[in-house]
This record gives sequence, structure tokens and C-alpha cells, in this order.
Amino acid sequence: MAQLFPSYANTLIRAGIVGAILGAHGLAAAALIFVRSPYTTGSENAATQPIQFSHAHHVNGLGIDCRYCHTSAEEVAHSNVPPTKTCMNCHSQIWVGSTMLEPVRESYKNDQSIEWKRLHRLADFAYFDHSIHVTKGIGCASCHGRIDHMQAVYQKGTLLMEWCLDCHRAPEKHLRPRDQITNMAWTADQYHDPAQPDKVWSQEELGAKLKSDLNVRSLITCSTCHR
Amino acid sequence: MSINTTPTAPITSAEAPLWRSLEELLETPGYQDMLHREFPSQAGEWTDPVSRRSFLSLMGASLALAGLSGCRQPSGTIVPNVREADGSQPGLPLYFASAMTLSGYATPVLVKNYEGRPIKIEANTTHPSFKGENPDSNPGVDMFALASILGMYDPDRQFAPNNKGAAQTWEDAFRALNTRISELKKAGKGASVRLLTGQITSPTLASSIGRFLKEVPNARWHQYEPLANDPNYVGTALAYGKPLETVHQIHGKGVRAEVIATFDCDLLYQGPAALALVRQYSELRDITKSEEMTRLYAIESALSVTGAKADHRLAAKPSEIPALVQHLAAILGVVGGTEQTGLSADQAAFIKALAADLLQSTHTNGKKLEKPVARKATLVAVGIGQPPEVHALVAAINEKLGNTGKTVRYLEPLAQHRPLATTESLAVLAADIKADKVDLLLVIDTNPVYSATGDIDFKSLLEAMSLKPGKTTVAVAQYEDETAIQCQWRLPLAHYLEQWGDALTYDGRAVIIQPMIAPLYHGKSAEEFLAGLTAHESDPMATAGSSSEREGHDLVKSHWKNWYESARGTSPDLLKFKTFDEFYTISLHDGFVHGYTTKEQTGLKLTDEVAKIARAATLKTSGSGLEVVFTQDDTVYDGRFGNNGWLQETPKPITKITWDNAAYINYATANALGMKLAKENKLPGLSEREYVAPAKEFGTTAGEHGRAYVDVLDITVDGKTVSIPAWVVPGVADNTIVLQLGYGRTRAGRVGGHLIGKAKAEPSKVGNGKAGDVVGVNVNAIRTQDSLFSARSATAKVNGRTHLLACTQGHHSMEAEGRAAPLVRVATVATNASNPHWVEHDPSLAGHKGDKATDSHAKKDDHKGHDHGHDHKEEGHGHGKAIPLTLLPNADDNNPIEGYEYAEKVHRWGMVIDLNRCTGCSACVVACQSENNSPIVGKHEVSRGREMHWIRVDRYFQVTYHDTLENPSKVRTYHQPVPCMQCENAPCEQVCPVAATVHSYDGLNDMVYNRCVGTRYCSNNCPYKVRRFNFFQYTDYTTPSLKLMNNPEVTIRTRGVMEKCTYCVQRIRHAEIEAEKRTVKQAGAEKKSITRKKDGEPGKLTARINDGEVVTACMGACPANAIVFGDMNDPKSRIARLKSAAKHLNYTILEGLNTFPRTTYLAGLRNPNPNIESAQG
Repeated sequence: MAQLFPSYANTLIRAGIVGAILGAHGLAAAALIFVRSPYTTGSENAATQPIQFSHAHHVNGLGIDCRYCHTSAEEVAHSNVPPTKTCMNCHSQIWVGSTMLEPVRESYKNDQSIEWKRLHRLADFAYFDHSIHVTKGIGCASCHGRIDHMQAVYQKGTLLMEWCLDCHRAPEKHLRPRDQITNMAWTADQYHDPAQPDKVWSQEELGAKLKSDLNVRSLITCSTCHR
Repeated sequence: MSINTTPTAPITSAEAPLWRSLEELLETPGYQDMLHREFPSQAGEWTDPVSRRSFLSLMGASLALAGLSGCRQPSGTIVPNVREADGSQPGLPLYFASAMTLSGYATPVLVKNYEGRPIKIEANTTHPSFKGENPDSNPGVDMFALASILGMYDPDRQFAPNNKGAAQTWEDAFRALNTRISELKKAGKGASVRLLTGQITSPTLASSIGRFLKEVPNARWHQYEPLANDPNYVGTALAYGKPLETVHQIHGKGVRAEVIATFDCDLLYQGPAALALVRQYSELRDITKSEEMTRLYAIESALSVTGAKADHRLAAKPSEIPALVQHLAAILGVVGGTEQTGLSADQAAFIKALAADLLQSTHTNGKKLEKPVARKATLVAVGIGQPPEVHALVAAINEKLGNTGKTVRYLEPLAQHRPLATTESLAVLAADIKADKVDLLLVIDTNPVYSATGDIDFKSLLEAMSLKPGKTTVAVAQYEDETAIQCQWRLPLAHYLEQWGDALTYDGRAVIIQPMIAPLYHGKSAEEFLAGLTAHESDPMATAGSSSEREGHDLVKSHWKNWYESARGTSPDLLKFKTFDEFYTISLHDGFVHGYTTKEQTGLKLTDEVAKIARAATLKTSGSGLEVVFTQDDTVYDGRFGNNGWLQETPKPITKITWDNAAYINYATANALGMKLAKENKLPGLSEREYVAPAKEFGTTAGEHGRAYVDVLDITVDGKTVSIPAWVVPGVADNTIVLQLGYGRTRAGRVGGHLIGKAKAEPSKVGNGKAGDVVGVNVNAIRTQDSLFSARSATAKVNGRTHLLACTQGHHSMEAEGRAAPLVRVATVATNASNPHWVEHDPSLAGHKGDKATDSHAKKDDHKGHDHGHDHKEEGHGHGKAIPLTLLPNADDNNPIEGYEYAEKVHRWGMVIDLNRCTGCSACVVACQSENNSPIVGKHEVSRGREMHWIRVDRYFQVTYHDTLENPSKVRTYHQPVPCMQCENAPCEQVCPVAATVHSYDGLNDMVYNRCVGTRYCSNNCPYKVRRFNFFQYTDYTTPSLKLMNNPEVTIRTRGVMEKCTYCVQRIRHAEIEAEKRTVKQAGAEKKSITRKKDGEPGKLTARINDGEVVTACMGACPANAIVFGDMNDPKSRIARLKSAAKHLNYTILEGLNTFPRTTYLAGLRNPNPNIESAQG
């Protein structure tokens, strides 16, 4: 009886088995990569806002502190986008004729809010609190990146739970002195301890010190963020 | 049948059986079967027939969701304010003081707002009429106020003015009405203008009405309030010659009522003072105090919340109650009191013992005194259901006992425009309409078409009037209700959370009502409406364009400005204010008007009338016929809350029925009426499987299985008949039928019943729980002007139909060792004094009774090394004492997860529920629902045991089966709130395959919705049955106004997710963050470091949450202060102090299961009169 399968069928089957295994893994890997991709997480995407507000210009160029506009970041869970009034504090005096600022003046005159596109969006079941992070020495730049270099703001991190947990498991990697919270360019080596004037601090050393000074806990149980 | 008033000898839970439903008492196999289940029968199964169509639509929706979800985050916008209001920050809740009115009287509240949305009602802790002298005591809120949030956002409210259905503007309405009023005035027909309102205490509204009546000469003001205070006003007028407001004060201001007797009076649940009285009563029953607890006697026909709390209860027919008061008056020597001869021996003995107890005390804490001591203060109270003569007689009794000026104080009537009995007033109006004397009728915030008594056919009168040419009828109401729909003009009324206003509390203090939000549905307040009719009389157009919010505020503010100017010189409380603005701002902030009190009437003299009354013919017992009592409904009041799903679904405190009213009768009456469950009648649409067996085993259970098909009774009074399902309640007086007002609404809304077009309410279809049907039965039809609250000579017969009632009393029964565990522990004060260890007998370990001594020692040694702060009873009296195994790692180990160690050292959250204080009022249930965004599920789902309340209040009866049938006075009732026990060794956590329920670093049993996949293993393994599963998509994701209502701090749960009480973890986390921030800042300022040790370290700071910073929703609402939550590691915290002061009463339920609950209970105590026991026992 003639053979049903030619001899290369063996090779085909072997290749097929290997291929199936690789393919399954590849598919899983692709899915995992996909959920982390900027397409799904929305990171690295700058939106077209109603007003082309440049953080780079206002923060880096003019040196305005974050908290001048985002007043509630230190106080409550939600860090506010400033009311039109805040823009008009300056822009009723300078650049009063600018066409770029027309929507701001319109908003102020007509009492109509400016509708900004939301870039950072957590799932509804995750409760993030700005104030505690800021109070405990997590700088703005730690999560938001170098806002002072962004012409248009984009979301820096993935905002996935693993991204949160990275820091919650080891907060010392990101802690900084409380007076450097809004300093975008801060690094640990800028830290100066009067007691040890010559010491150059690394983030690990400084993080460990701040962690104990500020009573920073590594909270990774569910109800920390989910209620 | 003999009525024996002897309480069973000293009661511990082991002696007389405690039970929730009769099946439990009889241990029927059906009940046993239910005990073993996680949810009541049917909850877990899909028993609803699924049509192909709905199956396809469900599957289609699931597929669509599966396709859309998962990937990208939805985008959104950020809309900041143009100008930020002072003090407001997005995400920061703001609290404002205001007041809710009910039948005119104010309940002070604090409203929590997020970004201008009111989302939660809290207690106003500063109001002097409600707060206690003890700084720990919390005034609480009632369920009506708590649920008013839902009432405001109700999408069924009337949303715009209309004329016979044609949309109009307010300007149109004002123009038309002003023109009409001018015409009538010119024609000299001012007398044909009529105003009909409910009972009103608001000074501003009263002056608005006064102005209107002045503008329109001869116009008349009628009032109609179904649950008005009239018998009391008329009664005090008989006793003292003028109508008076009776105010009770049982604790505080140096007063302490030692004995309280209530006659047909639900002192602790009904009436405007109930909230304050519950708090006062709970302080009189404080088990940590050495004074003897106050003794409460309740003489009543129905089983009320007060009766459930009473130490002695006498069930008497409504017609017997006047005679019993009369008898008491005679024994006490009140002028004109005559001893009644028609009383049974037991009744006479009861009243005799009560009279003796009111005069002097012979025992303290069960020990006989050497010499009797005269009582310093007592109280006799009577309910609004009793005739005026009884009120007058009770006033005389209190006078005789020396209570006047102490526990009973009299004020000028608070209801405006009195005395004129409101029902009489409606009858006058009805007669005038009939006689064609009325051309313009303005109905403001009252619903007589629904609630008028059966002898006034207000509906046809109003309907006919509206159809007649030349007549104008106007209804200003929140809903297009039964009355509004019969009127031509239907104008939306603002909710109290949307308007300016004011009202008086039960004791005559004023509260200013301030709006939290602009009217959602274009409503105006009653003041604004009347202002629109009066202020611009010459120019009807002038109201157009003026801001209604401003208008209402101006009216209220100018009223109080006038008052301030006039009272300034006289009231010493006003001296501290320099200007009116200061006075006004602080009064608004504090939630009461400083310096405003209603003067107490002193030097009152009893008139001779009282002696006459005492002899009057009205006070006599009737024959042996059936009698009917009409009462306020425990959850929907007089029907005005019919469309409030939270209230409809809250199980009624005593009967645990939801979504219905029923005729409550006792077992003997049920037997006499020949009631049988319809076990042979196979009901359409009901499969054999759905209908579980209890009925077959016990004929008159009235179906206590949660899903009950009960007999419908035809009840006839004076030729009028209503058909209403019957429900057996042990404790109701013999031959008495108790009916609740407030059901059978035909135009309440989609929740509370809405009949479309000319459809008639069909009793058989009533209350199927589907939209468009009517919920419950309207019993107003068989009330008359003469029998407002009770009717004699009624007849009842079983009409052969059956009705489905959704009752939760059998749901979530707990078991231990294969049988129902009675988890309430109660004893008398005498037992407690003689045997302080009586509590340490765990019924869940019954069967080990013998080895008490041998067991305890071995086990005690075992847990020495492990103890890390559990509340184990050190004495080791418990037999079968559990070995502490816990998920929490030992604090002394070097634990790799530092958070756990931290929690052990700083906070250990716990809750104590004091059964001695709890009245079962169920405010906690509504508070929890409001705080935690719990959905309502509807009658159909409740009847399958799928209700979603995180805290339930279990109700237990304690009586033998024989006495259930024979002696309604012997029934004892207990309530036990059961939230999640927050077990340290939680059975639910061990079985969750996806770790969706785990312990947090501070020892809470977290529930993680986003992890839950819905296996329901956890609820299967929960011995306390406190987990709730979203079997369907219960939460309304679509109605826009309901979305605004949700608490933004709590996740909204979707279908297929398990949920449960979290100890309000959102509040704990909020307080924790605040404490951490505070400490870090303080440490920075003081250059100190922070320690994590629970007792602190010298020179270091601790990030401790102070006691009182976390108040759970249930605790904040509890007027009895029965729920105490706090940090057990803080020795100064209220919970720690309570636990140490009442250590011997502290127990855990199902202790033998080794779960180590953080929620524990303080056993209840009763204080029966030792003389009643020794005399008869």
C-alpha cells in the first residue's frame, strides 16, 4: 500500500507544531504589547485643544510655578484645570489683542467654560489623590514627565495599574524633597544636606532617607485605590 | 382567650425561643433547606421565563459590550468654571445646613455637595433641639430625610408648567392667574378664591399666605394633612382652654423620665419629635451608666417600633385604649377618672402595676429597695390616632404626675393658622365646591384626591370643577399626582433642596432652608408662587424675567430681617451679633435661627372640661367585633414618598415587607378568619419549583419565606370595602386589623404606581412590581371623617384571591451547626446584675453545653502566643473558645509586607452595635444605600432574595409557639442590624479564585469590584450572608438625573459583580490621607520625625486619624447612637471606651466559626417591672 503521506510531511508536522506554539505565544505577546501600546493607553498622544496653550512657554520660558494654575493639587484629590479667570489674571494686561487668546476672552465675557480635551483618564474604579502624592514627595514630573518641555501636553505614562504599582512597590525610586515638587528638572544629585555638605546623593540613598522622614508607606492593598 | 401580661421569667436567649419566621420556630424542612443556601431560594437560579426575543437582546448587548470594551479609554472633556466660587474646589465636598419638612415640621439636615450636586444627607450635629448633652451623641437623621436625595433627582417629577397637558411657561401661568384673580376681585367674588395647603409651620410661607389673603379679600385658606396634629390641639384645648403644642422631653436639661407609658403612640418612630426622642431614649438606656434604665410600657393595637422596644407591652383593641387611659386616670386619682369595669383581669392588673410604677420605684436594677422612692419624672404619651378626649385626659394625668414643665411642655401651636382641624377644613372646601361657591382653587403641595377619606369624593368634585367653564383649578406639586392631573394648571413645585424657605422643628425653633442646586425641573417654591400672585398685582407682566432663586431668597431674608429688628432688644441670644448679616450668615451656617424659640406656656390651669370628659360616653369599650386601625406607613409615610424606590425597598421595621402594604393581623385572628395559604391554587406563571414548600407544612404562616402568596381579605367598614393582602404579625391585638396609609397610588410615578388613562386598579394585578402597575392598596376609601385612625365594627372575609408579597424576614438567615442560630442575646437587668457572664453563651455552639469547664482552659492557653489584639474575652468563659487563626500576619514577626505591620500598630477599625439602643428604624439601611450607590431592584427581584442592601436589620420575635397564638402581649421583638462583619479570618477570602476579596493593610476585608468575575463562592462561604450579588444590571446607567445623584467616591457596580459593606472605606481613606498630610506638614514645621508605633514614641509624631474623623454612613444616620465605629487601638476612642465599659455585654455572632469579626454586638437588656413578675409569676 502506497504511503498516504510523503516523507516531507514529517517536517511539515514538526514545523507546524513549532509554528503553532510560537504562534500562540506570539499572539499572546502581541495582545500584551497591544494593551500597553500608546494606541490603547492613550499615552504620547497630544490632542488638539481649543487653545494652543504651551506649557513649555509658560513653565520653562516664563517660570510660572505649576501651582499658580493647578491650585488644588496640594489640597484635594483632584488637580484642577484652572478657571478662565486665572488666564485673565495676566491676559487682561498682556497679549490682550492676540487672536490665539480669543476663545479665552470669549469665555470670560460670555461666562461660557472652555472645553478642554481630557488626556489623563483613569478608570472610574481607580481613585487617585493628587494631594497625598504631592505631600509625600512625589514630584509632578514623576508622573507627568517634563511638562516644561511640552508644547502641547500629552500623557507620559501608560496609566496602567502596573505603572502605578511600579512606584507603589518602591516609592523610594521617585521621592524628592517636598520643596522640589514642582521643579521639573530636579535630580537627586541636586540635593544638599547641610550636615554633609560634600556628599553627592544618589536617588536610592535619598529615597530611602525621605521615605522614613516623610513616613511614606508602600501601599499595595486594593482599597488604597479601589473603593 | 386570656390576655396574660406576665412577661416570661428572666429572659436570656436560651430560654424562650427567638425566631424570625414561624417556619423557623417550627423547624420546617423548607426552612432548613433555606438555611443551607447562600441566598434565599430562587435568588441563584434563573427562574424567570426568558423569551427568545429578550434572550437575543441580552446576547446582542453582551456582544456589543464585549466588542467595545477593553480597548481604548473613552475620551472626555474637562470643563472648568469660568470663575471659581469662593471656597469651592473641584472634588472637594461642601456641606450646607438645611432642613427637610414633613407634615410641615422641620428635620434639620446637613447636605453634602459635590460640584453643586447634593448627594448625601447627614445629621446636623449643632441643632440644639436634636443634639444631646453628651458630646458623643449624634442626633441622626430619619430615613425620609435620607431618601429625599432620590426624591429630588426623581426623573418622574413634573418638569414644566402646563395647562391640561399643553406646555406653558411660568409667565403664562402668572399672567393667566393674575388676570383671573383681578376679574374675581372686581366682581366682588373674593370669597370664591380658595387656597388649599398641607400643614405648615413656615413663618415666611405663613406671611406669604397672609399677604395673599389680604390682597384677595374674603379668600379662604383650607388645610389638609392626612397625618395632622389635630387630636392633640383639640385635646389640649379641652384640657387647658386653648390649643397647645405638646412637646416631650425625656432626657436632657436636667430631666430624666424614669418611666414612660405610651398609649397607641409610636413615640420612637412617628411624629416630628421622633428623631430627638430616639436619641434621648437611647441615652436613658445607656448600659455604661449606673443609673437604672428607664422602663417603657407600650399599650397599643398594632406592633410598633416603640412597642418592640418596650419592657412591657399590652396589646389592646383600639376601642379599649381610651378605657385603659381612663382606668389609669382613676387609679392615679385624676379628677373625673372612673374605674372601668369592662376590662379583663390582665388588663386591669397591667394598668394597676403601671400606675404604681409611675408613682414610685421599688427596685433598682432588679434589687429591692428598702423603701420605695417617689419618681422624679415620668411620661405618659398618647398618639394622634386617639380622640381629643384621650389627649385631654393624658394631659391631666401628666399634670397629676407632676410631669408638666418637665417631660411635657406646652407651646403655642406651631402649625400656622390653627385651630381648625384640617380634615374639617377639607370637608368644608368639598361642600363649597359642591355648592358652586368656588371659582378659583389653588392646591399647593397636598394631594387630597389620593388621601381624602372615603366620605369625601374629592376626585369627582375636582374633576367636575375643572371641566366647568369659568372655573380655574391650579395644582402646585412636585409630581403630576392624583390631584394635579385633575386640575387645569399643573405647576412644578421646587424640592426643599432647590428652594429657599424656613420651617419650625417640633419644639418651635426655626430652621432656614437653603437651596443646594438650582431647580432641576423649573420648580418654584410655594412662597415664590404666592409672591407671583400678589407682588405684581397691578402689572401681571412684572414677574417675567425675574430670577426665582433671588425672589425666594429675598422673601425669606426679608422675613428674618424684620424678625431680627423686632426681636433684637428682647432676645439675649441676639446680643452677640453686631449686624443682621452676621446673624443671618451664622444662622444659615448653623442650621437654626439663633434666638428664635417658641415660648413655653406656663401657669396653665386644667379646665373643668376634663372631669366631664372622663365621664363622657366616648370612652367605653366596644363589643367583640373586628376593629381596624389606620397607621402611618413606616417607609412611605402618607404616600408622598410613593415614588421613592429607596423607601419602597427598605423593609418595614417590624414586618420586613417591601413594596406593599398589607392588613396586619395576629395568628388567632387569622385562624378565626379561616385564612389558609392557597396551596392548591396553582397560580398562573408560577412553576412548582418556584413555590417552595412552607405553606404545605403550616397553613397560616402567611408565607414567611420571602416570596409569599398570601390570602387577600375583603375588609368592609360602613359599607365600603377594600381588598388587601393579609399578613400575620404576632403581637397585633386580637380581632384587630392594622392598615397602613400611603399605598395604592395611581399617579405616583414609574416606581410608586402609575395608571395610564382610564385604566382601573385591579386588585389582582396590584403590585406586580412592574412599571405601570399600582403598588399596594389605598385604604383611604374606608376611612371617614369620624374614623380617621380607627374604625369599629368592621367585617373581613377571605376573598379567595392570593397576592404576592415580597418580605425579607426570612432572607439571609444565619445558621450554626445545621440549625438557625438566634444571634440576639437579651436578658433582664436583674439577670445582668446577678450573673455578669450571661452573655458568654454562644448559641452557635449549642450542643457543647456540658463541657464548659473542661474546654475553656485548654483553648485559652492556645491563643496566648497568638494574641495580637483581638477582642477575645480574657476570662475564657466561652466553651469551645476558638483558636485565633488569622490572615493578618503577626505584628511581632518581621513581616515582609510592612503595611500590615503598620496597621497593627496604628489603626484597628471596628464596629460595635448596641442592641440595647437599636430600635430597628432602618435609617442605616437608607443611609448606606445613599452613600454607597446601591441600586434598587424592584419587588420582583426582592421576592427572589436579591435585594442589594449592604446592611440589613434582622427582626426577631421571642415567644413560644403557643403564646404566638394565645397571647399577643407576650410577643417580644428585637432588631439586629447586620453589616459585613469584617472578619479578620474571613471565610470569603479563602475561596475567591481571583483574589477579589482580600485584606487591606489596616485589616479591612476589601471587596475589589474590578477583579470580581462573579463566581459567588464568597457569598456561598459567608456565614453571615452579608454579600450581595448583582444578578442583573440593577444600576441605572442611562437616566441623566440619577447619574448626578451618585456618590463620586464610590464605584458604581455593574452586572455580575459581588459587593458588600466596606466600612465606608472611602471615608476611611479620605480621613487617612488628611491625617497623613497633616502629620507630614506638622513634622516639617516642627522638625520632628514620624513613628509608626501605635502608642507613639517620645519626640515623634504619629499619623493617627483622630476619633470621630471617620463616621460610617450608618453610624452618622443612627439617631439611637447604636452603631459606633472607630479605631480599637486608640484607647480614647469612643469604641474603645464603650468596649471596655460594656465589656461583659460585648459578643460576636457565630463566634464558634473562628472568623474573628471586627463587628461585635452589645447584648440587649430589658428592664421589666419586678412587681409584675412577682405578683403574677
